Amino acid sequence: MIRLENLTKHFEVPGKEPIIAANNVSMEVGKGEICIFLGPSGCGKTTALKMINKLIPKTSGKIYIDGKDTDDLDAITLRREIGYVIQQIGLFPNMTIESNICVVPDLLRMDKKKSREKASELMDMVNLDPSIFLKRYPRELSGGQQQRIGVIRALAADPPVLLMDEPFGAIDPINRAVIQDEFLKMNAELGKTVLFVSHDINEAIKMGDKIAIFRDGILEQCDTPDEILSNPKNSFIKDFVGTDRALKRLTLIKVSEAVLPFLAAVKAEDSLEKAENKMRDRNVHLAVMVGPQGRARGYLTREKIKGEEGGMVGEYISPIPGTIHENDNLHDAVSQMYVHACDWLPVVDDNGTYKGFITQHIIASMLGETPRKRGDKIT
Amino acid sequence: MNYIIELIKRSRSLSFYILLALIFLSGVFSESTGLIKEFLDTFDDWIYLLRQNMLIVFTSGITATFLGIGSGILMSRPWFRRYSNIFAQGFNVLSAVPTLAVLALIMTVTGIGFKSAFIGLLTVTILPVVRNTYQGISEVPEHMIEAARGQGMTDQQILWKVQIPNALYVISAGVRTGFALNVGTSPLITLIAADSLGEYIFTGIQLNEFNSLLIGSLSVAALAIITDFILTKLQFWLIPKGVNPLRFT
Amino acid sequence: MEDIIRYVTNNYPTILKLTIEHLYLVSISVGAAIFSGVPIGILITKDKKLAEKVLYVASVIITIPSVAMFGLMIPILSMVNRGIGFWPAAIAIFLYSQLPIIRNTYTAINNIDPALREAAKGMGMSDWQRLSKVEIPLAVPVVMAGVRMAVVMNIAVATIAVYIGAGGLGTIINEGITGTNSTKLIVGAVAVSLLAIIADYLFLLLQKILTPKGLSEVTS
Ligand SMILES: Nc1ncnc2c1ncn2[C@@H]1O[C@H](COP(=O)(O)OP(=O)(O)OP(=O)(O)O)[C@@H](O)[C@H]1O
Ligand SMILES: [Mg+2]
Repeated sequence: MIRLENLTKHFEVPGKEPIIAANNVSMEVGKGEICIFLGPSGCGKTTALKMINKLIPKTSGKIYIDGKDTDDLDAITLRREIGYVIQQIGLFPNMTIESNICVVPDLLRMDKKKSREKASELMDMVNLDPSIFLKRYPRELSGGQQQRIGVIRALAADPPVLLMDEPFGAIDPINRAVIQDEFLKMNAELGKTVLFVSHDINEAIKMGDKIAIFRDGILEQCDTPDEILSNPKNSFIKDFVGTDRALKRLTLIKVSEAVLPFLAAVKAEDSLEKAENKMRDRNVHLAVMVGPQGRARGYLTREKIKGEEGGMVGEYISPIPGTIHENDNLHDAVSQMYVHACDWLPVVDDNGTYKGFITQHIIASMLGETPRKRGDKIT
Repeated sequence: MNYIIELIKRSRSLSFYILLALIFLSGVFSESTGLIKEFLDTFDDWIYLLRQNMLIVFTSGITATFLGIGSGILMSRPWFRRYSNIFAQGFNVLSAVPTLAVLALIMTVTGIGFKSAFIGLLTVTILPVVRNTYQGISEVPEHMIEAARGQGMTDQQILWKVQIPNALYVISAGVRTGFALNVGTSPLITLIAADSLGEYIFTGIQLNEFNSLLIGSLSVAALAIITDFILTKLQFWLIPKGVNPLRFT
Repeated sequence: MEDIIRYVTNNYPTILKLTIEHLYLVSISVGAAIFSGVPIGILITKDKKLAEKVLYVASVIITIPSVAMFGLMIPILSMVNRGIGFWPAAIAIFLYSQLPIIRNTYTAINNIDPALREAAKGMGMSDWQRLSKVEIPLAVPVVMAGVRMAVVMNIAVATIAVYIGAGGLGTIINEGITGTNSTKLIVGAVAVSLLAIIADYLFLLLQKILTPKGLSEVTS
């Protein structure tokens, strides 16, 4: 979808060596992918991004969008086909929210009625009530609300490509997490190709299908988050992603991908013998007792029932340490384990139904494995 | 001290009574000094001078507003950028020049009469208009312009859809200042032989005629206050809500 | 041009005298206005309603054209035999100076970061100490900006005051107008303009000097 070839930018500084803000950058981002530009301040992320919509003229190299050389397109037309979001939001104070969202559709002389409808739809997607907000002015919105409008304004003319320069940088952490989630959900539906500048590694891991890490205008590595975390190309990347990169990988894996499904689920009225057999067969050291609705009620371990005979599961049960939702990630699971001082947790779904359990042991072994793509199942 | 504050605070009705009393007293006063008689005797003159005064204020003010906004916009254009700083400095310095000095200098070029008066009032009005227009446009934050450019607006569209609308309030403040200076200077044009309400005042001073003095002064003061009042209202209602601090809640 | 040089060299004592007269009128009146305007500005920070009223009255006053103000002043002051000359001019200038000075004092003190105020309170300063040690020093540059506005504006007002017999550089302009004498017109106009421009510049300088380091953007 977007291909950069030997993209280079020299900023001429009178009386000094030119600053090389982009040095032979080549990369490709596929349709519908979110690629995060990451790197220390001044490494050239913004420059690389702005060359794509020609806000900064490039010195040399090529930019292809959808196979078309952007040199052949005029800047104004190109920009109207690319959504653009900046950190300072840049809503126009003189226009209502509705006119702000419809700026590009109006520039393109699209049907007014349709674009207003689209504006309402987009507002619904980011949980803002159109009947309340459309007629307001930007200054009558909170920062987080304005930033949401900034994002949907870029989407209003349905451009295939979205450029975002630290779009959530000015928002407080809690709101930021919410907007990130909203954005991911929205883009799962819209399937835009997104280039996204960030200098927050955690944001990059959370949002990115790909991460491109820059240093001094050079693209050091461009890979999936998992690949970058498990196989950093050089010591710079290693340092940049942090010594806890193994832990960061945990956020990439959902609990549901690591769960041991229904392993050794037992009922209160089962005999100890049956429980012990189950655990031995599955080669695990604990069994979870489920109630009539399928909820986890307690557990027992092999050590606890060693040597006991003739009883029922219900008599030997210990209370469960807590639960973890199947849609949470392994990072959440590990921290829950620390909270409850245990080395395993039962996994539940939305209804609280028991789905299986995860253990520290499994998590550790998953991290040791070769890099994985998101969505791979544990076998 | 606090007592006085309290008193002033509760003065809504109080000030109303004071106003009534003042009106009554001034009525008595003007009757006894013959102010009203004098006013009625010279009523035709008054109407004529008022009309002339309003005419020149209005025409020179409007002309200055349009010329001023136009020049301010030109000054903010990229191709003018390298000179605009010098110009802005120049306008700053010039706006310190007293209005009587402006009239004096223009008189040396175009002599006396309506033409000089018109040019003088225009000059006085145009300075704040140009200054505020330029300032208002160049103060539109860079990131907002980047956002506009990033959405694919042409330079013209950025100017008309983003820069000017967001500068409107500052521009309107310049127009208000310009008109205030204009009305304030308008009685002085009597000195260079143009008709205005200043005639009452300067005659009054020369002949020590308090009635004439009062008629002139009150009329000029009322004209100034009403002009400013109208402009304030226009400013309130004409500047769009999103960029009008007067309407921020 | 030669005429102008000749006029200036022949008459510089007069010009100097008129300049001093002009400055004297403006500085006495604006000076007095500082003494009244600053306390009023501080006082009204305590009460928003009151502030609105005071500022409204001051802004109505400043709307009244100076010629009209003189015209109103003369009959009133005539009752105490001061109808013409220094007093009506001085009082008009005093009144005109109120708005910029009161308003700037008021906004300066109101705009002081509440956190700073808290900090001062937290250190155990009394109301008066807070005002004198924190708020006033921070407000001084902004108040100076108001004084600067008042001075520049009133140099113009004082020019017109020649017509009520208050002298000053307006005298030369007036002679120029009545005698259609270009030389006098130019000399008078340029002299009074220079005076205003220089005063403007000097006050700007003063304003910058008085601005605490690191706060320089406050005084624009
Ligand atoms: N207009 C310009 N003129 C000269 N140098 C520039 C210009 N714009 C950027 N640079 C330089 O180019 C380099 C890259 O800048 P860029 O803005 O792309 O950094 P960035 O990665 O976005 O940093 P940040 O995270 O701080 O936003 C920097 O060294 C910067 O100083
Ligand atoms: Mg940047």
